[in-house]
Amino acid sequence: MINKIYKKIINKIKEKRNKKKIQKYLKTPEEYKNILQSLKNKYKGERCFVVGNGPSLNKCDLKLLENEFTFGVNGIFYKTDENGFRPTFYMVEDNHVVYDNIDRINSYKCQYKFFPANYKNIIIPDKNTIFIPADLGFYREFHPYYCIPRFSKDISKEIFTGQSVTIMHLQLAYHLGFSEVYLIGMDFSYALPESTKVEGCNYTSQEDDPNHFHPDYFGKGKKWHDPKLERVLMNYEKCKEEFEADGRKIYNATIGGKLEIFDRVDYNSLFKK
Amino acid sequence: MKNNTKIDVFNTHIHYYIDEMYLGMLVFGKGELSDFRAIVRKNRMDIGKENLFKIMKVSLFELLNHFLVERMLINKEDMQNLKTDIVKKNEKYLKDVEKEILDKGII
Repeated sequence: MINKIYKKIINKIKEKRNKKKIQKYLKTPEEYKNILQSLKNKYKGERCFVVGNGPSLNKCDLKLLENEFTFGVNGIFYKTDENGFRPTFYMVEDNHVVYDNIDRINSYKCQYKFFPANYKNIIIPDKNTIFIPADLGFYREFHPYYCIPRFSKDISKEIFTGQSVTIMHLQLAYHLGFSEVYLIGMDFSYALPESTKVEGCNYTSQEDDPNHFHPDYFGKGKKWHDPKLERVLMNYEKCKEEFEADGRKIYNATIGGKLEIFDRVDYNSLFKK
Repeated sequence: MKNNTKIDVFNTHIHYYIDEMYLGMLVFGKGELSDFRAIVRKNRMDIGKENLFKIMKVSLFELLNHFLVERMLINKEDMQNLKTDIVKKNEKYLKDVEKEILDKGII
């Protein structure tokens, strides 16, 4: 009984502290809008790398990216632990990833951290955190844009979700002005281990993750969503269209994998003098 | 802005529009209201014949809340009055849609 009361008190104190922490760096939507507007075309004409978390990432020498602009997602912090690689821009979209890794996400240091605004009450922002107004219509059954890919050219207004966090990264890269985007670690194939617990679109792993660069990524006990790659592909097509309409280009520099919609380039050749 | 509301009626839900801009939707079965960004604002509402009009009206008010603040970024306008005006102006239309939903036997 005393233990229960004690736990309740501790939880309340934690909640209050978290609220204070959240409030410390939390800005108004108007302020975030202004920050995002100030970032528009900041990197005009530059190239960048969108780093996926597929097993092929282990074949890439990430030291080559030291002086490049890089976008990292979800559990990229496992790579930071492993070899110190830290992306310039970091983003998470999936709620399972947020809830299962909330402490890591909160403490992860990056030059820019972007999150959909609907996580404002969960993620503790630091001075580099920017919340973006995200439109979740792609996921919501009955929504007029359910499963219809959309692409935002100005993310200070809104950013569209599209089945994969990389779709948001591509909109972000466009907004920031990058003219060449190279995808790496986008294996675009998933194996569903037999032991996985399946409840609708929600999966719970019972063993090491075979689909990512680290076995703990969606390791035992972690939850993930059906990746629905056909829907991701629809969104990639949309991104490709928008980039090319503006004279920009997305390349696939993944070593191996099954993503063939973008022109392929050899990763190592991008760094040859 | 004319502030005219339009509601598209489907068998399971309705879509709200204002001057042809999407405002959000109300899903009857789940009793779920979500805004133009598909963020759920209310759920598990019990929607029946007797409270349909009231819920449709309150939902419009709630959706305008998010829409006006986020999308139109009204600066000096009195938002509370504007919302009330829009809902009032469209009250007769909401009644017509309520009748349509009930006549079709959706609820």
